[in-house]
Amino acid sequence: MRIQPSYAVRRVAFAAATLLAAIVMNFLLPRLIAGNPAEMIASQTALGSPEVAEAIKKQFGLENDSLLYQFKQYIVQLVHGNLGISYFNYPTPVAEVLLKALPWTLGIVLLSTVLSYAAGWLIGIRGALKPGTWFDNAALGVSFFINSVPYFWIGILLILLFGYKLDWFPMGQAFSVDYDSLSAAGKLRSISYHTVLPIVSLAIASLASHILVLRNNLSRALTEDYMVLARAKGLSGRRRTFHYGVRNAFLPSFTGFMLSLGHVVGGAITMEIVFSYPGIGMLTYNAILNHDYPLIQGAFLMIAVSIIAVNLLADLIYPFIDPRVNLN
Amino acid sequence: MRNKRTLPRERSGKAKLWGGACILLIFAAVSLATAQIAPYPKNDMEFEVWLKPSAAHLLGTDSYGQDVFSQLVYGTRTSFLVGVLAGLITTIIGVLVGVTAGFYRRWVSDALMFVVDLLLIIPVMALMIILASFLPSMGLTSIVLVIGLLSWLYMARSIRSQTLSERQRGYVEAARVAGMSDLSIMLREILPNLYPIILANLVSVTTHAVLAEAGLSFLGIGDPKNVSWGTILALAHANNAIMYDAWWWIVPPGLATALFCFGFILIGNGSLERFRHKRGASQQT
Amino acid sequence: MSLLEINDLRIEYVSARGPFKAVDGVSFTIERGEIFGLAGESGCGKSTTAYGIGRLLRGPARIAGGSIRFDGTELTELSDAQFDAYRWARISIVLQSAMNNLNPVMKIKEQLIDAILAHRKATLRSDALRQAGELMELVDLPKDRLERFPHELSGGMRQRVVIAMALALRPELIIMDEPTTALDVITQKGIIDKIIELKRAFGFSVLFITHDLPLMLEICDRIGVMYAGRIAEIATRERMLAGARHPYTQGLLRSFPSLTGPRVRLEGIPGSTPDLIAPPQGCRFRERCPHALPQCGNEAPFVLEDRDGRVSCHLYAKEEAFDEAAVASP
Repeated sequence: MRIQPSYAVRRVAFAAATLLAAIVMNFLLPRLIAGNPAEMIASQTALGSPEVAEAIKKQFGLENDSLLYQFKQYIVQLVHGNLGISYFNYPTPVAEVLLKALPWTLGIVLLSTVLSYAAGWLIGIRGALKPGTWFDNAALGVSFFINSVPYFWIGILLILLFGYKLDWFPMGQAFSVDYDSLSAAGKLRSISYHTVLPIVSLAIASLASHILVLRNNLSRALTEDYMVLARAKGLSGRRRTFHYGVRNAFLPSFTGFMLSLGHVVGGAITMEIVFSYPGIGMLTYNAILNHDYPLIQGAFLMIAVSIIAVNLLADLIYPFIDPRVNLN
Repeated sequence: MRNKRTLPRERSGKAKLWGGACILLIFAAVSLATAQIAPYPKNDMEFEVWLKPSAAHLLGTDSYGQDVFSQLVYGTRTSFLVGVLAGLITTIIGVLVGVTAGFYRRWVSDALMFVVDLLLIIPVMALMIILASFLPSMGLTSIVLVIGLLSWLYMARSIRSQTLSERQRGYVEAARVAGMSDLSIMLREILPNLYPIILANLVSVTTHAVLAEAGLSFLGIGDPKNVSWGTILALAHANNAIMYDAWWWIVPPGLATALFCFGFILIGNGSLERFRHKRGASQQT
Repeated sequence: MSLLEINDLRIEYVSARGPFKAVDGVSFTIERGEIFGLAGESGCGKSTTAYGIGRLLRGPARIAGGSIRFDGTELTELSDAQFDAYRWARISIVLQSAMNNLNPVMKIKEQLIDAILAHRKATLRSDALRQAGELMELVDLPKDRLERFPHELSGGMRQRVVIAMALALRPELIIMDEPTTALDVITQKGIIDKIIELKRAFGFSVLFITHDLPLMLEICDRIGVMYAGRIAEIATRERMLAGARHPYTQGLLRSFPSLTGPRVRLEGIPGSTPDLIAPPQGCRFRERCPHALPQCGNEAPFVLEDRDGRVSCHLYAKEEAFDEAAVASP
């Protein structure tokens, strides 16, 4: 199986269009909304510092240049990786602040996604194979419950239980206070220990949709004619379930899985605040508190770019998994 | 052979609708009669701090000396309003875009769906944050608008695909032959057939709106003067409620959202079951 | 001894109102090398009968009674593990819709060999692949199609693959449930000719299910007509062509256009089938029968059995006193 060029080109073009849309939004929104209030914000936030006042003016497009010219400048800056200067961390560039935080967020998002996807699989498959059993009903009930509460609430509950009451895991932060004095192995241990609760919280919070999607897909696949034929052929239960049922159930869930990454990232933002975890979410939170607009915009762009990249990757992998995709 | 399973399904669909309606009615009643139900005035800080639940304070007090139960009751009103209003806005946009994209073929449909697919990739939460943080002030109206205007993408998709399948059914062609205009075909012929799908979507976007409000409040970009389930949780977290073992401040707001969303989910599932039941019956004849 | 002997078979679906008797006392035999047709409107129980024989019933269904003897062995008494030896190796099946017969995400070759490998465990993969190639030749498909996925083949090709698959282990009985329904007339003709050719070459028996009576008259040696869970009539092809005996079969034949015969007005049979949860006493076709007699309402139909077949109808209770032609002509 190979990717047809037209398909790949289409997907890359789509990703580029999405990226452009994100950039335009990022550029326009503050300029459209701000207007006069921006002057106010600028004078409030600058606190007499002329450099900051200048930076804010640039950020909001308060110079008297045309919108198009500003956009050109903005793009030029972007291409050079310049996202402006963070007010709060003045004079550290936004890009630097973001890059420091990104690995933490990526780590918990990716690990929790893998974990919740795997768990969702096991639970969803078991539910679809034995519908109506107590296990299936419990899984459905829990899924609906999880879907009905805020992500961060699950995090707070887990901290209350496993951090405070049982004292099994730390209640926050990404590493211990004496981190700098630790050996490499000790550092790794400290990071892993601190990361368990955030990952598990995020995994539980995103588990529900995986369970529901997989259960739904598999129970639909199980009613297909090819399942009857597989039974008539006398194939073993294992082969029928996995090669005929699960394989067909997996494919449609793959795209949904990638789309769900957006939700997980959204959830990770609040989850990081709960755990005082030093990722993009915590950064965004502090940026909002400190009215650090360049940082907020930079964080948005960073999140958008990561998700667009992951989606593009998924689109390009998909034809290798599903033979039907290349056709149209 | 189909009718052998529809009987219990129809009954369970009805039971779910009623159950969901009851839950939502209770929440509606609470948010209408906050002053009568809440034992103490809003934001009243006259009590001792960190009190455990007791007869005087059903859910104890928080670090400011506010009665948590009263705050929860006042919060119900905000969360209910945001959920319902933002849900309605989302639904209106979702139906408009979805039906239009499903009804008109070719470029209208393609263009609309291209935009939807594009926006679907950009995380809504991040977009909400950037919008909300740049708006000069975050009143209830802005929250409702931000959530309502940014959440319609999934819904537009689902409405579109249902519209597409409605188009396949003969009646649209028949109406066209009979000389009905596009608009009246959409309004009078297609839309009524979409009601159950719309209702099911309304449910999920409302649930989503309540949770989004909680998330935004937690991030500190909600309306600071208003009490909502999200702001209660934000305050609890900001004031280290965990370290004081103040579960009475943490658990109830989450359970309130769960129960509220559960009511909506019941209504959504119930209406879908009844819809499928009716469809199944009409296909047999 | 017949290859398949079905006696008083009863199959029920569980429902909230009580058991739904989809098959209610069905008996027939299939000889070696014979194509036996099972006809009837949808919902009459013909597919349920076939799926019951192959232990492929979906949903909450169970065999409530009767016997299925295959080559002298009572199939209903076998455990699931024992029955596995019969699946595909001795009884295979070609399913209804051409579209979803095949697993969309597996290559044709994998689907052809997995049955071989599942039953002949000692077979090498290379041998199985060679056999798959031979099977493709049997149904006139180029071998390179083995590397394709189902969606890359036309509907007719897919159905040929399914037939090749059904032949993989040289079974004695192939159940064919509407094998050509979704196909256009020309493709349909090709497939039917292929089935007949292969039957001559390998000598398997076929249980052929369709609602298309004219097609059935073309290829079946004997035909059973089912109505509301029971067999109304079994007749040889010759007997059917000369004129069916049961009023239901007569009505059914009249509702199909004939390409060769005289042009007649097509008529469906008015009325609807009885409720199979609480079926009526007596003859089930009574409500819709143009020749209904008083005793049809409470007595089980008279069964006339001769060398032409078997018919269950009170009209034949006193054969000698009855002018058959008067019934046969509308």
